Amino acid sequence: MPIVKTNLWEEGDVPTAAQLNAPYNDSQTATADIDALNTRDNWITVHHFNNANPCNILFDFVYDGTSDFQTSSTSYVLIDSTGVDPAKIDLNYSPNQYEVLRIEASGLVDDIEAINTYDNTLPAGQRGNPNYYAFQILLYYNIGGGTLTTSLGEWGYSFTSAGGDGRYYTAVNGAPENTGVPLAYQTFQFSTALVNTSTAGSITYEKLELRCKVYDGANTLSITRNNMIAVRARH
Amino acid sequence: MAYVKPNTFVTSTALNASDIVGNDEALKIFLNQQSLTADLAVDAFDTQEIQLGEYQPITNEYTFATGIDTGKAVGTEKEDRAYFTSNIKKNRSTDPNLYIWTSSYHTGPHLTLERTADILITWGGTYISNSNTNSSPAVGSGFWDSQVKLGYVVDDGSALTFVEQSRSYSFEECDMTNTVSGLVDPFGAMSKPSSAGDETAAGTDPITKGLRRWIGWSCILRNMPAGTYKFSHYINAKVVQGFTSARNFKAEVFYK
Repeated sequence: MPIVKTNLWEEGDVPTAAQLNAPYNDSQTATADIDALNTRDNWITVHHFNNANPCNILFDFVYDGTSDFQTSSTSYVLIDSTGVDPAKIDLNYSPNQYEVLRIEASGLVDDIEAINTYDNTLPAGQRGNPNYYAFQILLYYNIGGGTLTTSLGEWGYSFTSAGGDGRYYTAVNGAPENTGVPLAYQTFQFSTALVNTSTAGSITYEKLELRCKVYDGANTLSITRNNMIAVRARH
Repeated sequence: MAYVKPNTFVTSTALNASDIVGNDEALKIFLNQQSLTADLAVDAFDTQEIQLGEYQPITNEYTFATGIDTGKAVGTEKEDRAYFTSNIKKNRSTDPNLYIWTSSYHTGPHLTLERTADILITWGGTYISNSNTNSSPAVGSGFWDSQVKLGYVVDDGSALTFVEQSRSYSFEECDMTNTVSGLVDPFGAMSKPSSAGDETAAGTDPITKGLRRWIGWSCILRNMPAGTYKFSHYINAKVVQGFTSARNFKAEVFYK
């Protein structure tokens, strides 16, 4: 928006109609396209944001009931507590360059079965691995050639309070050492963020999934309430 | 809609003072009251044009153009603890089905929404449930489960609302010789370790600390109307003495 000028007249000058109209005509033009030149800093408040096109967009999946999702899968599976409403968020948007997508997830583990949390046939340093289970957030996206996936992170937990090669609760090979207890009814919580570095319009985010797996198929992971929240911080 | 001058000056026509005043007044009114979204240039504004945030040190609240950030965080000092007890009502620690919800003080802030908003809350903290004794009042040890969840009340007088997305448990850290007395088993489907029983008493053996659960959750509250909210952690205490410390409550408000 340009600066609107006014004429300077001295005594005896006779202004023309065009000169008199000029500042008002310039104002008409300028007020149709107001920009940062003629607005002060900090003028935009919450009342100026467009509700239909907000700068932050929230997505969520919430299961806050008490049903169990149980798995002994050693590869990631989608959490689905009710069998009809899996832990996923449909995004279906194309982010601008450098736009951020932030994701929070949490839930409650309940009646776990920790059958095997130690195996001394594994190499030293890995014998406690059967104690682990993990969560993953998986992003489905498209860059024009069909749906692709990428893991946005994995977060590991253990079935018992025992850890390492010298402290364990159960054993496939080797006597159990009762120096830990099963950790049922513990919460899980994690977050991550994704920055889109590709150019605007070149990628479409399709959906997010909250998944889980166990390290050893003898163990059973059981999950009750779980949720996932995504915040699109538009750029 | 952009400003439109009400009067046009024409050559050889006498100048009318009210026409000039009229044009000026119309411009003042437009600039002060009538500029609309359609009058703004596209992609012309940067973060410096957006209202700066304002920090309220008393309430630890940061208000900015699109929402509010607020929180409460304490450490592990004794003065940071928020204690709870089952001794409020008889049989509270002997009847697993008796629910008496009490607020854990200093576990959540007040939050005033100026307009409808989504609220994203993240919480993390420790809950310690000390072992019950058999002395007076007569309550038994038994890995009691004290359920913990977020709740809030609104200044419109509505009833306490629980947020089930935050449902969690704190377990009594008692001797492994006990049997489970609560509704849920802290050891899961296999119950407690099969060889348990040869440990020393609670408090002297680190195995009892296996009963301790870190509690962490995120929750989303959608389309919350304008008003003042009082958030707090609520607990259905099943032990004579327990407390929470080292906790962090963070609330982020996204105005609609």
